[in-house]
Amino acid sequence: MSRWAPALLAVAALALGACGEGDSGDPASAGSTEDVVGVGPVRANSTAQFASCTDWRRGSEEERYATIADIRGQLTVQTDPDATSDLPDDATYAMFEKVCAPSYSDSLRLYKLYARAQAFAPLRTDLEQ
Amino acid sequence: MIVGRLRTTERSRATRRLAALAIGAALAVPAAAAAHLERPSYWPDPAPDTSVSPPAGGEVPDARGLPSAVTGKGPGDVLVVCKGKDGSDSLRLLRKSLEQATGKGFYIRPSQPKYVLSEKKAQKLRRINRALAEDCKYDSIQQAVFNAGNNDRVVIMPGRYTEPKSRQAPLNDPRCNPSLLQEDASGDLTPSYEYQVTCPNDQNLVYVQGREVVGKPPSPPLTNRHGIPAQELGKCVRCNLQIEGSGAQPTDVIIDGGRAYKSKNPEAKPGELVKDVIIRADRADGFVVRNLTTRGALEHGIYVEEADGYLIERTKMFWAADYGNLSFTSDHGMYKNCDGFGSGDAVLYPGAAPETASQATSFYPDAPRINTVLKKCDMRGSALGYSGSMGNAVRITDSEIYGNTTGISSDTLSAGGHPGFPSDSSQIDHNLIYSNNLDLYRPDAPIKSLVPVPIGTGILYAGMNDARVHDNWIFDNWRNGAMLFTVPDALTNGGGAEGDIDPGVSCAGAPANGISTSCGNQFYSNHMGQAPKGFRFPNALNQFGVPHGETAGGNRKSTLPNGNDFWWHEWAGNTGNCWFNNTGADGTAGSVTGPGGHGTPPDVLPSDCATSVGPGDDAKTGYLIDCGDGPDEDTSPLACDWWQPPPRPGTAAAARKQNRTALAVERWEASVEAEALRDRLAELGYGP
Repeated sequence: MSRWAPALLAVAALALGACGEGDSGDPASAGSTEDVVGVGPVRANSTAQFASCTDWRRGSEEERYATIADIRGQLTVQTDPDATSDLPDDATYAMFEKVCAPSYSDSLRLYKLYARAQAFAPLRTDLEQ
Repeated sequence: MIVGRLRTTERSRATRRLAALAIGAALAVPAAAAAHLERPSYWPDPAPDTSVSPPAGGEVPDARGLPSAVTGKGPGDVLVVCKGKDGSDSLRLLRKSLEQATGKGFYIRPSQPKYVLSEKKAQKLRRINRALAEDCKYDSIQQAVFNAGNNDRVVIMPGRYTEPKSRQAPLNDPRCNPSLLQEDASGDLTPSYEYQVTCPNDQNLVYVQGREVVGKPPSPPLTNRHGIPAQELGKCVRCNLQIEGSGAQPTDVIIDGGRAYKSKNPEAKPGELVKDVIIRADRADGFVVRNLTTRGALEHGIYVEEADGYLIERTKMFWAADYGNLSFTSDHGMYKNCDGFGSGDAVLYPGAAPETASQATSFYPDAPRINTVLKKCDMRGSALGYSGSMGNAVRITDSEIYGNTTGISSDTLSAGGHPGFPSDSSQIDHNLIYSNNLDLYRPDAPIKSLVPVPIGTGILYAGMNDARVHDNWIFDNWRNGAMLFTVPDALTNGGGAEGDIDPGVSCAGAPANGISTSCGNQFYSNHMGQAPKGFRFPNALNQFGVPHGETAGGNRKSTLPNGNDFWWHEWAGNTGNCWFNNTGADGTAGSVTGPGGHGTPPDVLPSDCATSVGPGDDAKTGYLIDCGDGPDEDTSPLACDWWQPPPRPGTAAAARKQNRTALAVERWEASVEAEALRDRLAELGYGP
């Protein structure tokens, strides 16, 4: 983590209504929870496609968890009725926090990071507790 | 290699956690191609659709030559799009372009010599364009496409087309959202085909509806992805459509999803991106794009979805934030004479390509066959030159892949949404793959990378079977020339494979034994660490300041070593992987380097395909552990180093790094962490 990243995160956490660069998506109806909107530009009532590390940093904790729920739903197998993941949302949160800390990670898409992280979740004994 | 083992009870809880996390990370095969989100998609019927004449699909379509656009010959109508009154602006732009084309010439691909147009051809092009101008009735490409039908052609005269009306179309249009969103089995929503048809410019600058809308998509989606479900398969309405520029150069016609440019240079970077996709061709069998440029998209330049038969020729794709071109669940595809850069993921991405090879069923009676060919293309200046999740039976040939972070990546990792598990039968032959050393993990990176991939890598297979990599020149990639990983089945994300797994997986015992990937891959007759005689780096390599070696000059072969030629995971039990008849930096087989600096035995690449079995290498698994958790700034010897620029091969810095890593590996082999890792692998059934 770069030296200034913690400060950036602290400031970013105060920002609400995150929206991606150059995008005109209306975040009003995004997110997969009823009341909380996920971070990033909205497409088809979801922010999963475009949410980036920049958006992540701008989001509140609630918005971030809404984003994770949204991405989780989109990235599970389409024919699986459960849409549950072996990667708990808390672990996802921690992973996004780490990867999104350096400034060079600004544009990394969260769903692309999630796709990788979700893959190894079944083998993580620390998540079985 | 298995050494003395501690009992489970002797391990600390913390170590167990670390090991489990580490295993997961390692096996996850990080940095693979990163997929995209899309509605549940199906491979189209590979047989030609004879309801239109000539039939649509069944093969790669032929492009119709520009002269026939004004002779009245051939099927279909010609719809002309132009700039200015009666095409006056287009004709002015053409004159300017022809001056350059007949004088200094122009590049179709920066790696190739300039193309100079003869005066005779220039005169012919003037005549054709004057005739086109007389027929011009459109100033909007989208409007012409709306008015086009089967077999028609949309001919675009020179100019920059921003499609103002499409740009003004509402995003998340309430006419379609949410009523036309499509649910997957768990209720997650994506835009349906009907959504795209009804609100064509919600996400797209130019939308090509290939087939009528009939019925609703199956809910839940079918597990059998062979064939678009009959209940929603309408008849052709724009099959065999050709969209083409009429200029002298591909950059004469620019379809632009960006704005706020600082110059009029066609390669200028957009200051702002305003539309997701520039051209989306949906179920449009027999689709042809040629002689134009797409520039500036929030997602993709040209997007071909669920189509049988497509040709993308003499086309440039610049500054797409995600993919320059994305083709998905599409068959009989060809990219030819193309060029692209500035992608945050890959320049070209044929994802979820059909199972036309090792796992072909009777749905493909002519199998095995390649279903998608990339030929004579430059893939450069991007996070990835090429990628393809479930990139089955895709061939890359006679192309140059350079100046990316990683040159080529194909994977079996992103299973969710990508039918075709596992990926097989990639073919990479007769290409130049070099100097993929672009560092995008620094604050001032020239391109915004959407995905973490290893700096300095030529080819990365993350879960591939039956690949053939041969007769390539692979050089000056400062980390690895080619990498081959295993992706155990337990680690394909999102609950396993998307859709049915067809029989024919090449790994012995699969899928029952949980190892379905990284078997039967052959790397042969490649020139590693050398450039061909007379090779010169294209100037485009300097566009983003990519570090590279120096050529010998004259007509000599240049020695331009890779950091390491072949990196193999050596996963225990993987069969049929072999490396033979390759040469290294001094032109001999003996100078080939591999399987990698982090490994333990065998340190010799198996050359006998029939007897090759992975011996297992926990050190390499350990090395991958850290990479699996994404980029960070840890620079300790065993930490993932993919995000730091590798040292130039042959330097003292490279030697120091290699020695430091070797020592660290030795220490790690005897560590508690290594033991825990081995135990965990055994518990999961992946041990000896």
